Amino acid sequence: MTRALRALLFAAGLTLLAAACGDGDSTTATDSPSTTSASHTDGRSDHDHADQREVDAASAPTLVIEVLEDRTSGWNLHATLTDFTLAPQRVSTDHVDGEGHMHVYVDGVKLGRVYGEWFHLGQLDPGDRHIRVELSGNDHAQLTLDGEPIEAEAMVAVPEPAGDSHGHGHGETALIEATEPLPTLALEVIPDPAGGWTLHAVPTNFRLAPENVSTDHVDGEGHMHLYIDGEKVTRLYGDWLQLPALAPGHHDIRVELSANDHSVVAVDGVAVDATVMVMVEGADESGDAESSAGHDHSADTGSTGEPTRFDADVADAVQTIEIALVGGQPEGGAEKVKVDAGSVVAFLLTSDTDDTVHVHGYDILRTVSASGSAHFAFTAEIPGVFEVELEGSHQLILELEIS
Amino acid sequence: MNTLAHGIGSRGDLPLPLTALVVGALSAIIISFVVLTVAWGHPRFDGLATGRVLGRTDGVAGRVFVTAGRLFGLLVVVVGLGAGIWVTDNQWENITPRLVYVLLWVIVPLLSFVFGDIWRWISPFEALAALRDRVVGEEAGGADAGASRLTLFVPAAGLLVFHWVELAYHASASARILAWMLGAWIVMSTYAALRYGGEGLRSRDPLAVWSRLIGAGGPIFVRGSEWGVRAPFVGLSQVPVQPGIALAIMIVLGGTTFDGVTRTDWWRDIMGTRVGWGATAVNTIGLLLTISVLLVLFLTAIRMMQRAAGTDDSTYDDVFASALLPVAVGYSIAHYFSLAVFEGQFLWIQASDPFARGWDLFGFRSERPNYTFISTTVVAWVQAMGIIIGHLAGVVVGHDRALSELPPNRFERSQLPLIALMMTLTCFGLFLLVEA
Repeated sequence: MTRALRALLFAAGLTLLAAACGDGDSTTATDSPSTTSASHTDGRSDHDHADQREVDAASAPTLVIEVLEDRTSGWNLHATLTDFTLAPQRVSTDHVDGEGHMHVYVDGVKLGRVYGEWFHLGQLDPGDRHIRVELSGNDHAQLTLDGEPIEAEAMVAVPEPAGDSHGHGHGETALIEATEPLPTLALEVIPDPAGGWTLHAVPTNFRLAPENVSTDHVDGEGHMHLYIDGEKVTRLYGDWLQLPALAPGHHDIRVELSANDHSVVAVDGVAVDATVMVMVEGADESGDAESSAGHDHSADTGSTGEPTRFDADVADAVQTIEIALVGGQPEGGAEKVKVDAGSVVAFLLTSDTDDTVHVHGYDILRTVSASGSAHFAFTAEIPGVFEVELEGSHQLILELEIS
Repeated sequence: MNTLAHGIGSRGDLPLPLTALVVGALSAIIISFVVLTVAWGHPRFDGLATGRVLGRTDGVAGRVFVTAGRLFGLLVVVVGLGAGIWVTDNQWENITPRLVYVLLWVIVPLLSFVFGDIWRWISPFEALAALRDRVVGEEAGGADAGASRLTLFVPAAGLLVFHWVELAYHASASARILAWMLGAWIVMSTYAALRYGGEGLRSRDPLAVWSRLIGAGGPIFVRGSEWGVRAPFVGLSQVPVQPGIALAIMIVLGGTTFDGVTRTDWWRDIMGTRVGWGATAVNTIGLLLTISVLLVLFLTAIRMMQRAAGTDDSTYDDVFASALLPVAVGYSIAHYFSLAVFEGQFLWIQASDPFARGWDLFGFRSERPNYTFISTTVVAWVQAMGIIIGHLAGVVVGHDRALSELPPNRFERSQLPLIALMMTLTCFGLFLLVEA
């Protein structure tokens, strides 16, 4: 069922791409207003977090931004930070000194959260635009130094759109074959404890190169495109993104790899992509949570996807444990895997059924959907033997021996 | 399938290093022969077991202490049954699995080993039995004389059922199943208390039997309405020889051993991807086989002793079974010490909201268990020492038993099979921990 749906959506996505062939710019141009409007909605709800937190002057973070016009379409934000770690995996949790995310405002209106040093602003209205970025703690408190927000501003002059809004004739192709080592993509959508959703997309054998976006194709580098329900929403320049507000109901969140020149990276003619289905609860959608992949309220602990203090960046992983689940069972049976205590371990799970993966002891719960995969990492701080289990069926997937 | 102890628990122990196996096995052999050659030549435990009486249990302080204990026990049983029936059936919200598998089955016996029969103090059924004894009068024949007439086959069967649910049944952590088990146990023990009184209860309630057997070696004892202290282990010579005691002990020893077996890679390969009743069937065979193998080993050792001693005394099985009690406790410590320490923390966390109603009675509701406050090195030491000290105590108790039971002229030779059995169990126990 889900597979069929996914195939259908994928086909729809391809059709859209095919339709946009030779008209690559307009794809982004057409869709960027939806980013803006969706984020505005979110921005209003975010105004509740009006708290401020003074940082220690000795280790005060600094922020410098530049706003660059994209050669294809829209505008890119580049933030340079010191003494500050972007920690999207811990957003909406307790404050940690020197950690958090950024908020971006256009003409005083909040566009959304920024989880990486590069961010695609999309199209901006013609005229002089005031871009402001400020630092925020994990708990959304505005960070201040001597009572002043830590922020950076830039003014950009957005030109009137040129007369020929229909493509610039790059002659780009829709698909470009990837070279060895073949890239893959893991995707998860995590509920934000404060509401909304966080997207976590991790490509392997693929370098995210926002600095080279809209330039010539280079094998093995580029960025990613985000589609929601088949519609292109924005570009991803980093692993993490705050999803725009979603209406109640099912949503297909698809991310695909894109080359610098915006052609779609493919293997054997098939785009390298990953899809996760998210179920957004709403007043008139109750009782339909069972089939949800993104937010499973029936899970035992009810804390699926909740950040834990062990969460780590998959990029730091010294060991990646790959598990293929077939029919809700680990291919080749449940193994015992030895892990060094204190090291960062990543899981890369693929499954043909929807379920929730539970790392016992650490109580990390992550969803894995039939059409996607789960890629997450944590610091193996607690020594001992821990089971990794599917919560739905209580099927043992693996035992972790951490010593 | 859930290979961690009891179907609950988040953290398992690391395998012991191979050196622990070698050191443990060597200590076992040395201890055994030292005891055989230099230990005392006349039974001493019976004399030592008299101990020193320190007070009465029926004074005001004693009554308050006993009443408080039994109220606590009543609370445990009532909360366990209530939560088991009504609260959401998962081990994070439902306290029943941990009440049964951690508090009643691990913490109570381990504390009994250290302090003496804990369950007798906190058992709410003891209160019923005391009431009945006051109204009807105790069974004729007095307290201790009564016990040896009673068989332990019923509690042995109860312990087997418990182990089956714990280790073989595929939904062992299900609060609903545990509610059924608790319900049956409450009915059975209430009946035993009201029908047979305190002495009868202590030979019928499976937990009371196990706590009494383990607690016999503890330094605190209760005799009639007096309590006192004595050297550890010496009380094991006072364990009444009841038919079925060997079976009961071998069932618990077998259960703990099988729990160790299920954690080996070898067993994991056998289980493969079996789940549900398929897993239950394989585990049932494994559990029964393990108990049977231990029973056969034990009976073989006893028959060899009888041949060496030139008797066919049919009570030998039950006379020498108590020497295996410390070995069984050693196995329990080795397998369940960390479970008690780590999962035990959930007890007060969950007790703050025992019915998952959002309460926070003690303020621990949102605490998380600390899985690191005892290091894996300490756990490994406790495991190895548990097995080795269990072995030491077993050999000493067996030696003392042998002195009082075996004919003096054939004494040393006829003691060998029992010591060989204990060395086998000790090495196998350590081997399972290395292979875990």
